[in-house]
Amino acid sequence: MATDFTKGSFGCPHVASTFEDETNKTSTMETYRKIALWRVQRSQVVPNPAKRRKVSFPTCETCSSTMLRPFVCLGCQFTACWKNEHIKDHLGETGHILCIDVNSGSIYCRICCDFVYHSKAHRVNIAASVAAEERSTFFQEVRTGSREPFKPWTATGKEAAVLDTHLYVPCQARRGLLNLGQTCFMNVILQSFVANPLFRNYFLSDKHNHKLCKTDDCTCCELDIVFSEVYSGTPGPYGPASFLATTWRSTELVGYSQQDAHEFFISTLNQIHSKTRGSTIFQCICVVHSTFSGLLQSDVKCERCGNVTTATDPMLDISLELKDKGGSAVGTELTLFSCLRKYTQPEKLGSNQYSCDKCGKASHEASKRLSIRKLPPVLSFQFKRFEHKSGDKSAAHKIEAPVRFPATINMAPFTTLFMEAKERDSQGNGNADAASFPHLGPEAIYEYDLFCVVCHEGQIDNGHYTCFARSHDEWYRYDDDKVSHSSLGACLGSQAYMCFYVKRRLEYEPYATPSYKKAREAEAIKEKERERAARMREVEDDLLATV
Amino acid sequence: MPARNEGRYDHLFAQLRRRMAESGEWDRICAQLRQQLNESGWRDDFKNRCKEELARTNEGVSFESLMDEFRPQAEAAVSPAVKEHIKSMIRRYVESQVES
Repeated sequence: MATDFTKGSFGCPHVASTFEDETNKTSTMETYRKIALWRVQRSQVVPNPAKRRKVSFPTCETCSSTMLRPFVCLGCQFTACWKNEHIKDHLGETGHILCIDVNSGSIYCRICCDFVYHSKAHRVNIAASVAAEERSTFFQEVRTGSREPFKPWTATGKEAAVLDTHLYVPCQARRGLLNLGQTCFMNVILQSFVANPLFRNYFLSDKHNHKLCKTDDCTCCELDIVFSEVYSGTPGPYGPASFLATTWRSTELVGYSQQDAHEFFISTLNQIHSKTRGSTIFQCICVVHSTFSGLLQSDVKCERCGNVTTATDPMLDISLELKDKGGSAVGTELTLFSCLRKYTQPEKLGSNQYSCDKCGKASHEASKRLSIRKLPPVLSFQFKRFEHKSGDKSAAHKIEAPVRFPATINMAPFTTLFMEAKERDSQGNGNADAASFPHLGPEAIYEYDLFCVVCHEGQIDNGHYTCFARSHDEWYRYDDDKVSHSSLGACLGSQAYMCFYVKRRLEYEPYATPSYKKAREAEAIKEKERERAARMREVEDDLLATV
Repeated sequence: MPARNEGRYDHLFAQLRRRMAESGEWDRICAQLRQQLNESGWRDDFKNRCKEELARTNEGVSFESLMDEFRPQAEAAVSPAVKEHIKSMIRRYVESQVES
């Protein structure tokens, strides 16, 4: 079995041999490309199913039934069904070894008698899916050539030479954090940052080097130090004393008393943002905003004249109420979905809260509806468990009710685009707008995966924070300095206070000229200038020669 | 004449299936089912159970043996409300396609 991790390729040996032969490799990659395209077209997010582009379904070459779960033989492109075992029969009859499940891109190996994993095939599958999704996304115009399709980075030339001389050091990147005196609220948030793929990529690629930064009390530097410590390979817990000290100096969260983890979270994000050079108020591209920033849209509709006033607000996370005004209904289960539905439900406004611009009356009938206009790469949810009655902290109490949340969530139904499209269709609008949005992009761009859960046990002022964080497909529990292997079940069964989800696909800014194109244009202009100057000099020289 | 009736229904069933697939109705119902199963915690519950099973056994467990073991439990664990809802969606579609 090929298990050389440094060569970056391991798994089923029968799949491995497919990739060793050049013609096989090419035809395999072509197969992946074709099935990814079919799969993406099949799974478009459509608010109105009647408007979906028709997708043709293959029939089994053995029994002619329409295949809802088609399989393709890698040896000869024979397509057959799994249900009646016709694809397995084909493999047995022809001696071919591998076939692909079109729905997932997984490979079944006749010799291993099982679905198998191979890292190269896995990468090819993802690359083919991303390429197919790029071509059919609603927002980006790879089709029209305004942006190059995504290519995964491969080391070439100097980079490859540097990588060759480096030693690969195994590092689990999981370290406990010492409790420095009621600082579990800080530890769980720091663990959520460490587990955050976008923060991890930012700091590991040296985008903010604490040794080069000249800012005083820089929270961003402190976070860089935490990443360096966690990824140092040093065993045993780390005490984030300097992070704590910087927090004391920069905010009002001073002292050793227990703080609210969510408050600390928002405060730290603001600190990092304000200390980042080049951070702006609007459309900031600091690490905090690139990671967490989304847009919330609120539509206020005057029920009398139908006029809608729209406002958008940036958001760093979503705080969800757990109780209705009259307390949540008995028997209804609290889930993240139900909370989100409540969050995006139209809400009647009080009689004097809104006066309509159009019909000019202080409307008694106005409703406000929230929706997510722009989804952030990392979506953070807070369940409002701590009720403070009119600022009097001593009278606060905690809502203990558990909330069920999923390991993956599709956010499409809560987005502005989707909600508006649904509304248009239910009103029977057959105008150009509805037709031009036959689909809202491949499903994958709305999917999020859970990677961290912050839990709180005990009373408001006498409790303890712990968290769960995911590393690939394994879950670990972090209790200050104690890190233990856990399970998805344990994580989902815990009483969550905050949940962090990461988007499965990242996108570029829409309707923006890519920076590499701007650079090319600038370079082309400079080149023209240089040529012009050179020609002018030639002309001058000729003139001088004649004198 | 059972043989002839069976053949007739097979043909109807196959045609219905094809129409359901190509119109996107099957995928739509499937997406609805997937979302409801996710929301009810069913999906995560069985993912967890399968992972725990894998962790328990020392030698590898094949996909098909996992399926054989968990399929009956999984089918039984689908809430009756979800079952009814999906069945009614299917029934509605079939009725819309077949002339009585």
